[in-house]
Amino acid sequence: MDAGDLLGNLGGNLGLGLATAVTVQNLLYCFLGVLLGTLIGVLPGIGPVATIAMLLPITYALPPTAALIMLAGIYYGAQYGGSTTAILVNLPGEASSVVTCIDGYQMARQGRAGPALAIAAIGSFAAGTVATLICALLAVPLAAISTRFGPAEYFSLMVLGLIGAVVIANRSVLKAIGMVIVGLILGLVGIDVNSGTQRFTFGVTELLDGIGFIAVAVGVFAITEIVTNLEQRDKREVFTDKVGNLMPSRDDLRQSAMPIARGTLVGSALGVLPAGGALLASFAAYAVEKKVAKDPSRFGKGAIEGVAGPEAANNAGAQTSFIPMLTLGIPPNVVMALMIGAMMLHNIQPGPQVMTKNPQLFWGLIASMWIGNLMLVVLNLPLIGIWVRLLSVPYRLLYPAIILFCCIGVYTLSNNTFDVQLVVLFGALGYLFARIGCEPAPMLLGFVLGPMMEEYFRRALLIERGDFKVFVERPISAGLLAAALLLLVSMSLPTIARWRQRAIAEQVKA
Amino acid sequence: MGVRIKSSQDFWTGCVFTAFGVGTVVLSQAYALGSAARMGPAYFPTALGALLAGIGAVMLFKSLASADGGAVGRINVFLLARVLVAVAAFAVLLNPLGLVLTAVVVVMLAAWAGHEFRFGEALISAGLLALLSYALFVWGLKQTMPVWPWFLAV
Repeated sequence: MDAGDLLGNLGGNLGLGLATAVTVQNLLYCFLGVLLGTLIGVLPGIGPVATIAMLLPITYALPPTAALIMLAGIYYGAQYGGSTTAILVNLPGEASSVVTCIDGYQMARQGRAGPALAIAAIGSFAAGTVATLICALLAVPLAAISTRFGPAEYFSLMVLGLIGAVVIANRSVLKAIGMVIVGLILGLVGIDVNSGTQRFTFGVTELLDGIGFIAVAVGVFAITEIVTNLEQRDKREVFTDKVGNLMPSRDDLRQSAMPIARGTLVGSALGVLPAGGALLASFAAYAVEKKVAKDPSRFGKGAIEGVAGPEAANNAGAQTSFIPMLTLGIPPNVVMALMIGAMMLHNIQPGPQVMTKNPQLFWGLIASMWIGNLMLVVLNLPLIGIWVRLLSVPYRLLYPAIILFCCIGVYTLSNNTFDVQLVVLFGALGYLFARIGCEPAPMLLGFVLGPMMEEYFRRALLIERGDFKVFVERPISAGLLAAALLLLVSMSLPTIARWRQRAIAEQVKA
Repeated sequence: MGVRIKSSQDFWTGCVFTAFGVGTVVLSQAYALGSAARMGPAYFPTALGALLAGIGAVMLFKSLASADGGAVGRINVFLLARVLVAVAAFAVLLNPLGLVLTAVVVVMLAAWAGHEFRFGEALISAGLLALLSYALFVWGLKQTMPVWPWFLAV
């Protein structure tokens, strides 16, 4: 396929996508998603994962394409809401907005919260536009490569994806890998498709279809987060009165243009990696800006570049992390694991066949990414005053509402209170795991991938009559496993270990 | 007798992983193991369980050797229990009491879990949230669920 063909197809595909996304119904769901996502995401102490887990049940009744479009909207909204909280309250809702806190909060303290919020929105939009194009460009060739994958390659790819995702973002690699395995095992609960045997169901009928994935996500993220927040009584200063003038000055715009461009590049590249892209992206973009700046000492004291670059990178990474999820069915982070869970609820098996079997869904989702980003700007610039007022709602009024809506949401998935009981169980587990320093994100990734991984493992060995060499004799599979091994080994190298420690320390500090 | 736990976080992680891993292996033995070429339902969980138990053992060893892992902070059992009671109340009460009353109870219990509980304020927000959830889920999203208590249901 030459370049002209590729571009022609790209046009056709994006055309199909736009035609799907720009129906009144889908635009409405996209809008609702962005609105609700921002609304919940802006609440302090609720990250994108908890937001999506909480709102996912609302999308369940929709047709699959509309549901995914709305979920993607929720994701962007939640991310932007998280940045708002980071800038105004110095409270990062998730790891990737930690960097935004550094200079964004300082800008807010200097009375420049408005321009910081506006630049975050503009940067996100610019980055989103480019990243959408990258998604569209890369998706077809990647999916074409992946059709040559056999079960051994898929298994190795999942190993690489899981190792990559846990190695970078977690303090203890060993603990994170342990949590992945806990998740993989929990994912096996239910009827084994190959033999019909009931595994680990303890005679509970509700467990035959496996543990409800939303119940796990709500338990270990939303409930655990609430308990942890209630433990901390410290008050934080909120700069709600000082937002005032929203528009960035000409100088601000000029200073932010290049950081946004660089952030977009960094973010797009890192987001594709099966390795928690967004977090890495914002840290890397901040480092780049500090490095190229004429006067690096301004950073940490309210430099607008320190907001523009990481925010663009963050959003670009969020966007391109859809690529491995959509083309390979591998979630590079927990949000994508939630998206895969949502697709499965609609009986869509994620993977390369989505593009051929459900082209409308696939391209509709890609086109809606751009529309979602556009709506984000259109919605947020005028509505920022409302979000700011939401921030001043005291937490004691917020969290009971969150608990209630989580319960209702989980219940409506299957109209069964059993899933709500599971939330109790996983809420307790999530809190105890947090106390012993085990993060829940790797567990959820393992949980989503468990059944698929077993299936590919089984098939690969069935074809080769039980010869384990299949994983290292097939070149692609061997390469993927080697990359996973390399990643593990490199983390124990002194320089990289130090760099990781520093990044994680900064994250803890903020 | 110089054995001391240097990192209680690592120590408990090791315990949990080992117990979970061994438990998985033991429970899996109720199913057919099969062979690598024809895996039975026990094969994959047995392998995972053994791997997890191995990681758990390493963590246990590490908790004695280094303090890197840090110590377990205070576990706030009462706070956790009170938040979970609110969730459990939803599971238990929804079918007999219906959505509206359950919502009031859940919000009241949840508010009581925090350290800034004010009865009057909580009651008002409980009432409003009950109405909102009725409007949103029953009226708006047309979800079927019990709305009123069993003695009022038609």
